[in-house]
Amino acid sequence: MIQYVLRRLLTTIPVMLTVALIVFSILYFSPGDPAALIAGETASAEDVARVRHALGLDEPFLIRFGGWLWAVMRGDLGTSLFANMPVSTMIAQRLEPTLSLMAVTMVFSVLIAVPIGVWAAWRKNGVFDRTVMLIAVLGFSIPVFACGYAGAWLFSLKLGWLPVQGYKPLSDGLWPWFRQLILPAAALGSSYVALIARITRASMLETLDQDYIRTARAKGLRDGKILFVHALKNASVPIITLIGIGVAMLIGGAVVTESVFVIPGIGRLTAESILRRDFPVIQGIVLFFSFVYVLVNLLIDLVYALVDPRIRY
Amino acid sequence: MTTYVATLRRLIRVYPGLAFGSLIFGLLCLIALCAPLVAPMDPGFVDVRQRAQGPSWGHLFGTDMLGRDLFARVVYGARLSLSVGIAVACVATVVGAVIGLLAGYNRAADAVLMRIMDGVMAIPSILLAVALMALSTGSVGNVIVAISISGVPRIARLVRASVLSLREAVFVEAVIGGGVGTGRIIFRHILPNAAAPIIVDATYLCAGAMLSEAVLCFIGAGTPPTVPSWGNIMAEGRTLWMVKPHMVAFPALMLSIAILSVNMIGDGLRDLLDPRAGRRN
Repeated sequence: MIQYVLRRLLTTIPVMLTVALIVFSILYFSPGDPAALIAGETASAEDVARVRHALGLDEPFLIRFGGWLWAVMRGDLGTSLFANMPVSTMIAQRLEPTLSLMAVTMVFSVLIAVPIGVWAAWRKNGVFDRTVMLIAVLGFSIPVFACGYAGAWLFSLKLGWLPVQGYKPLSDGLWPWFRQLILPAAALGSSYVALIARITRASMLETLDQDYIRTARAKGLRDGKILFVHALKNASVPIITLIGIGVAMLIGGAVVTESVFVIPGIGRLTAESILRRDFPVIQGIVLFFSFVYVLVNLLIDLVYALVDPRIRY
Repeated sequence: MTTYVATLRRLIRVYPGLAFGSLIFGLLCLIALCAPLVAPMDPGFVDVRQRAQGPSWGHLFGTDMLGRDLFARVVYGARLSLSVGIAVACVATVVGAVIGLLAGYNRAADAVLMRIMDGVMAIPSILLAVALMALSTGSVGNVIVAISISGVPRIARLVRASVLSLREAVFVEAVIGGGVGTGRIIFRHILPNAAAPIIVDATYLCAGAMLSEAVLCFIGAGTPPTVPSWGNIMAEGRTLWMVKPHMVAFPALMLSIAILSVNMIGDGLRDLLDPRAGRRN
């Protein structure tokens, strides 16, 4: 087990290095000359060259990449062009709303989608199955904008059940925090739920055909036990994989959701930085989210080993 | 002629989702192609007296904050959304297929290319597109390139896996034994046998690209506001959506319908091209 964990940890290093190289190249080739910007408008060509040399901007690509990577590993993501603030601080300030949104979305999506998928597979081709699969295609296709605005219009403006927009920090109490997140999480989670329900159903159908399920049934076990203990556990690897891959979708969706619901998170920061052309912040966010994504998938690979003892690479 | 009709009828009966999705998508393409006929009004015409009006006979979808006709803007927006979706599917598939073939055939190239693909895959696609768009000007071509790049690894992996397994297949060995050149083997024997999953994935890529395009335009990283797109129409209507929901509702509805139709085509093709998966689900 420890060997497996170590080996899996080692394989993420080249991936993260490639990600870092791609992200660095994006900033490296970004338009505008930081040296000219810092030297000021009245600076002569020699002054700009001096500033460029002082900042190490005239070094070759790989040396600059190395220096930048070293800084990133110490948590230094550079300084915002607009706010004159370290990028890492800006991301840290916006972290709570985004993490809250994604955590609530993930937990509730999985709790809703997996039982639906299991039930649909159990009653294959029944009314429930057909309805659910139809709704799943819809849920998968309707973008966050549409779900978000429609939900906010119905539940906040017309019915007045939920707050319209904004975010309440966790320090305001659990219920206000959660209440504010219900609509954004539902909008963000709709495609995620659809995706997980579909894969759960497909994977369960395959598992329910197996001999050991027939054996379990022949032993006279209760349906619930067969479904959730015997079948679901064996069907779980593709489901867990998709939960991990779907995190990329959630990250992309968070950018839109936070704009629609005016949540001051990292997604909003992304949209703001785009409008200001604040390259270091964009770069920092891409790097941060990629790191989160790789980390989540690493954790998920480790979960495999717990769920399925046969997996030992 | 009658056999075509019979085949079509059978197709509709067995794969209703595919037929329905194709019908809707075809209609949308027709609307986009004939946009000036469908919406005779100029989507850029500013009429300040008609600002922010609700739907009426004169303006089917109402008007936006500048008094531009939203029906015309949404219809013209279909052009952008559909062409970006189709173009991204084509570009990403061709580039991905080339990379996948190279990686499948050459061990040295495989190591380098697939590491790069792993890296690109680890960056959430919309963020990669956002970062690339931040570098460039907001032209339609740049939007297509930015979205395509994140779609390439999926196709490349798929093609590489097919090449690796098909290269060992008996019929390919027979062709090699027959003295057929590598190029002919790839294009006549390997690619056609790997085509089914590639086509299905390309369809889903098209749906994803339409969504990404809307997201990019929505957060201001897409095409300039002078080019109507479903994303930037929603972005413009965003500030007023509570009092004038129609400004956001119509583009959002059209986007949903477009993505739904493409996803239905994708699901249908998957069942059609992979009978095993079709029976199983």
